[in-house]
Amino acid sequence: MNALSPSFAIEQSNAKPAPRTRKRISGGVIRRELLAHWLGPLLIVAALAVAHQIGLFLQTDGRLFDFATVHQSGQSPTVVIIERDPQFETQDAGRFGKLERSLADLGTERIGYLDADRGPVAQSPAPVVVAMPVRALPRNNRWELPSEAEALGNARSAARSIASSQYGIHRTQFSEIPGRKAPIAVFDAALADTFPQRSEFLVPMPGGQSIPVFKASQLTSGAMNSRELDGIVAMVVSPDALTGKLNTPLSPNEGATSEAVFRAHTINALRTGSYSYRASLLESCLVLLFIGAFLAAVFRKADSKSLAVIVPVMLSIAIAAACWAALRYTGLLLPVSALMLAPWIVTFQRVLVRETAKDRRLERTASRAVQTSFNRSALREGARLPEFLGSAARYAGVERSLLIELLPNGKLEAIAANNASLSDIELEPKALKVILKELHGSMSPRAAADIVPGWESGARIGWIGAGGQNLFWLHARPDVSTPGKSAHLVRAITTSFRELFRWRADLNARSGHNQRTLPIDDKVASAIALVARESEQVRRGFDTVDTAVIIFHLIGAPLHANTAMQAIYAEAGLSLFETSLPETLLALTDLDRSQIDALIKDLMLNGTEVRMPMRDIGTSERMLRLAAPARNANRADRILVLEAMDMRDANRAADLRKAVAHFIDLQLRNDFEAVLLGSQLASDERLTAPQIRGVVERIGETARRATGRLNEVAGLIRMESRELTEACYPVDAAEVVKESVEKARSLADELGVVIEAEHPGIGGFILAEPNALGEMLVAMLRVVIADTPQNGVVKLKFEDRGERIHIRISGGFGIGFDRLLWLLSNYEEGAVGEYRLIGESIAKVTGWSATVSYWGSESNGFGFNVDLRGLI
Amino acid sequence: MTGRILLIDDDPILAGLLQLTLQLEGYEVIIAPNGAEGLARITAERFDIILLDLVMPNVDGMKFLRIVAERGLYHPPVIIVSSAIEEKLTPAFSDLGVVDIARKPVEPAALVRRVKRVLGAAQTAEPKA
Repeated sequence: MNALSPSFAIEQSNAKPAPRTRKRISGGVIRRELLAHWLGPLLIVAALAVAHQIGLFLQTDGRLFDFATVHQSGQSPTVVIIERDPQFETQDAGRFGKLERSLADLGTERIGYLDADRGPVAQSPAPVVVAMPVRALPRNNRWELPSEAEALGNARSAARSIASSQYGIHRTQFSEIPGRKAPIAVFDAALADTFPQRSEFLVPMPGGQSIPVFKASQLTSGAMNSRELDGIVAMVVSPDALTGKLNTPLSPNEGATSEAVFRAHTINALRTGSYSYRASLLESCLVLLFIGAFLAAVFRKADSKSLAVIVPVMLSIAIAAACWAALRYTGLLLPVSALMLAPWIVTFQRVLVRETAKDRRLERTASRAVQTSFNRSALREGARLPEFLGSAARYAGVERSLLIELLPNGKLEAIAANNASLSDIELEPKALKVILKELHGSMSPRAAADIVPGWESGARIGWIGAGGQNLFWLHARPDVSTPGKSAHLVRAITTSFRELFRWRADLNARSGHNQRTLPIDDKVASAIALVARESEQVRRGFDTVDTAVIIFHLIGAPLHANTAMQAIYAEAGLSLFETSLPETLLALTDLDRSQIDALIKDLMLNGTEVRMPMRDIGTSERMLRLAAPARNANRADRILVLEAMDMRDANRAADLRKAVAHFIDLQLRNDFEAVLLGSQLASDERLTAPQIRGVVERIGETARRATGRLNEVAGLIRMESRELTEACYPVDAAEVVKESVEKARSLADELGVVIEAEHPGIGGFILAEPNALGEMLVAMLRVVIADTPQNGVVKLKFEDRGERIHIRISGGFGIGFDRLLWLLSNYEEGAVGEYRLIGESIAKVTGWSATVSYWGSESNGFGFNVDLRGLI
Repeated sequence: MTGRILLIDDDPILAGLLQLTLQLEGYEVIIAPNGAEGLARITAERFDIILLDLVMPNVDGMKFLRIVAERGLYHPPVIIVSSAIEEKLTPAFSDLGVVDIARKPVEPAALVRRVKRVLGAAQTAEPKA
C-alpha cells in the first residue's frame, strides 16, 4: 500500500468493497446451482466411467466393435497362409529351405512359421519368424520362450500367444507379452513387423477380407508366377492351424474361425494400420464428462420431462455416429456403451429429480390445504367417525345398526353399536367371512337377513372401507313413514362415510407403515376433493345467509360472493369477478374515489368496520358494511368483507316501535287520562255515592280497555325483526295514505294526471303491515293513473268510520271488469307489474282482517275499495 | 259560574268523566261522539265553549273546524283537548277559532281553570252575532 500513489490510495479507500453478503449469496447460488443441476449428471457419468473401466461394458462394446468392423469392406491382403500340406510334408528335410526360397522368389517380404518344427535352413533368403509356445514364469505375470528359441539361427522367435477371448469372442491380440527381462514379441506382430504403441489392440475382421491360402507343395513345385507375392508376408501353418476352433466376430457362435485365419487378420490389421485401441481411462472419462456436462447444460435450460425422449434419442444417434467416426478414422474405440447409456440415465435422473422436487413442492404446498381441511372436517375426530355414523343413521330412521371390523386375524370386532351387538349375528363365522370378503371393495350393500335374522325390519350390510381397516356397516331398514327417502339418505350416508374414511386414510398416509408409500398425488387428490367438497358445502351454507356478502382479498380482488350479493351485482350491472372493491364501492355508494381510497386505507391499517348507505338498487333499502376482520389483521391473507344489509327489516322494526309508541301515546293516553281523571273525581267530596260508583266503574272499564290494547301490541313488541315480514301492527292509516299519494305523484305529473286526495291530517289507527299496505296503495294509484287520460283526475278518498277505515281509489278511462278480474286473480300466471303486486297484496291483506274490492267497466273508469280494520 | 259546553270526543268514558268534572263546577255539558254530530249540535243549539278532540272517526277535529269556518257557522271559543298535537297554539288554529290547547292527560282542575278563563274572557268580550 505504501508503494501506491496517493491518488490510487484514495481510489482504493473510496471504492466500495463488494458486500460480504453478496459473496455469501454468490457462493450459495453456485453451491445450489451445482447441487441442483450439475452434480447428478456428473456423478452419473463418473459411475459410468467406473463401470466401463471395470469391464462392465466389455461385451457390449465388443459387440458394437464387431458390428462396425465385420461389415467393412476388405482390402488387398498383405498376408497369405501357406499350408504345410501332406505332399509337402513327405518331401525331404530340405523342403523348408526350398519353400523359403520359393517364397522369396515370389517377393514375400517375411516368412513366419506358426509351428516351431521348422527344419534346418542354412540361410533363409527372407526374414523368418518362428512361433514358439511360451512358458509362464512362476509368481509373476511374465513369460519366457523355450530354450530351443536360441538355436534358431537367423530366424527370429516369437511367442505363439493369443489374447484371451472376451466373453468367448476373440477380437483382441497382444503385440508383445512381458518377458523375463524384456517384452517378448508375439508372433503376429513379429511377422508383421509392427508393434503398436499399446500392446493390446483390437483386431478388425472385415467379412469381405480375403486371406489367400496356398499349399506349400504348390509353391515348392514352382506353380506360381514370379513376384506374385510381392510385399506380402507368408504365414506357414500346419493343417491343424487351419481347423476352425475360435469364436471370432466372423463366427461368433460357431467356433469356425481357425487360428491361422485369426492371426492372418491380425497381421493384416497390423500391416495396414487398421487395428484399434480401446479408449484409455482418461479418454473415456473426458468424453463421458463432456456428455454429462452437455446434458446438464441442456436440462438446466429446458424442462427435462418435455425433452425426456428427444434429447436421449438425438444424442444417442450423435454418439453412435461419433463413435463410428472415431473408430473409422482414428482407430479409437470410445466407451460407446457408457456413452449411449449416459443420455438415458441422466435424462431419467433429471426427470426423477424434477418429479421428486415437484412432489416435494406439491406436498409442501398441499400440506396446508390438507391440514386445513383435515382440521376443519369431521376427519379430525377420526375416532368418533363411527359415532357420527350411528347418529347420522338415527336421523335417517335406522333404529339398529352395528359397525363391525374384520380384523387381520379373522375375528370380528364391534366398533360402534346402536341397539345392536355382535351377539345379534347368528350366521356361522366362516360363512360370514365369505360374505364380508365378497363385500370388500363393493359399493353395493346386500341383504343381511341371513346374518341377523332377529332384526324385524330386515337388514342390510355394506362395506365402508376405512383405509387400513376393514369396516362393514350392518343396519336395519329405515323404520319411517317415508322409507324411500330414508333409504336414499342411508345410501348417501354410506357413500359419504366411505369417502370420509378413504380421505382420512389418504391424508393420514404417513402414519401407517403400509400406506407410507402412498403417492403424493393420491393424498393431494384426496385433499383437493375434501377441500372442494367442503368449499361447496360452505358456499351452499353461505348462500342461505340473508344478508348479501362478498369477500375481497387484501389487494381488493373479489374472492367469493354469496347468491344475494351476486344478485346485487347483477342488478347494478357489475361483473362479479372483474370488479374490484373500489370499483364496487364507487358503483354502489355515493362516495367519490378519494373518499373510497381513504376509507379502504384506514380499514387496512386499523381494521374495524365502516358503514355507508347504499344507492337504491331495485326496491331494497340497504346499508353497506365494509369490515376488515380483526383476527386476520396481521396476516398476509387479510380479507375485507363487504356486506349489504337489507334495511327493510330494520326499518320495519323501527316502524313497529314507532307505531307502537304512537299508538300508546294516542290511544293509551286517553285511557290513562280517564283513569287519572276518574281517580281524582272519585276523591271529590261533592260527588254522591251513585256518582262515585259510576266513576269507579268507568275507571275499571278504562283499565280493561287499556289492558286489551296493551295485549294487542305486546306480541308485536316481543317479535324478532325477522318475524316482522308479514306482521301487522297499529299503523296510522292517514300517514300511509299520504306517503302513498306522494310516491304515486311522480307518475301522475309525468302523465299530466291530477290526484285529488281527500284524507285527514290525523287519521285513526288500523291493523296492517305498513310497507305492504303502502306498496298496494301506490300500485293501485299507479294503475289508475296509467289508465287516466291527460288532465284527467284520479281520486282518493279516505274515510275513518271508527271500527273500519275505508280507502277508495278511482279514475281512469276504464277496464272491463272481466279483464280486471283476470289481471288481479291470475297474478301467479300472466299478470305483470303493479297488477301482480295488487293481486298478491289482496291475498295478503285478508290476514289483517281487511278486504279489497274493485270494479271497472270500459269508458267508465275503474277503482279499488280498501276496507281496513280500525283500532278504537 | 254557568255556561253550556259542547264536548266533542269519541271516547265515551273520558267524555263522561270530563262531563262529570265540569258538571260539578256548574256547567251544562253536552257530549257529541264525533265531528259530524258536533256540527249538527252547533247548528241547532247555542254553546258558550267547545271542548274538541282531534282524533275521531268520521269527521275528525280538524275537519270539524274547517267545515265550521267554511260554512261560516257561529261557534263559540274552542279548546282543543287532545293528545295528538303539541301544546302550543299555531296560527292555523287561531284562524279557526281555537283559543287554547290542553294536551292529554289534563288535570281536572287545570281544565276547569282553562274553561273558566275562556268563559270569563268571552263574557267580557262583545258577544258575536
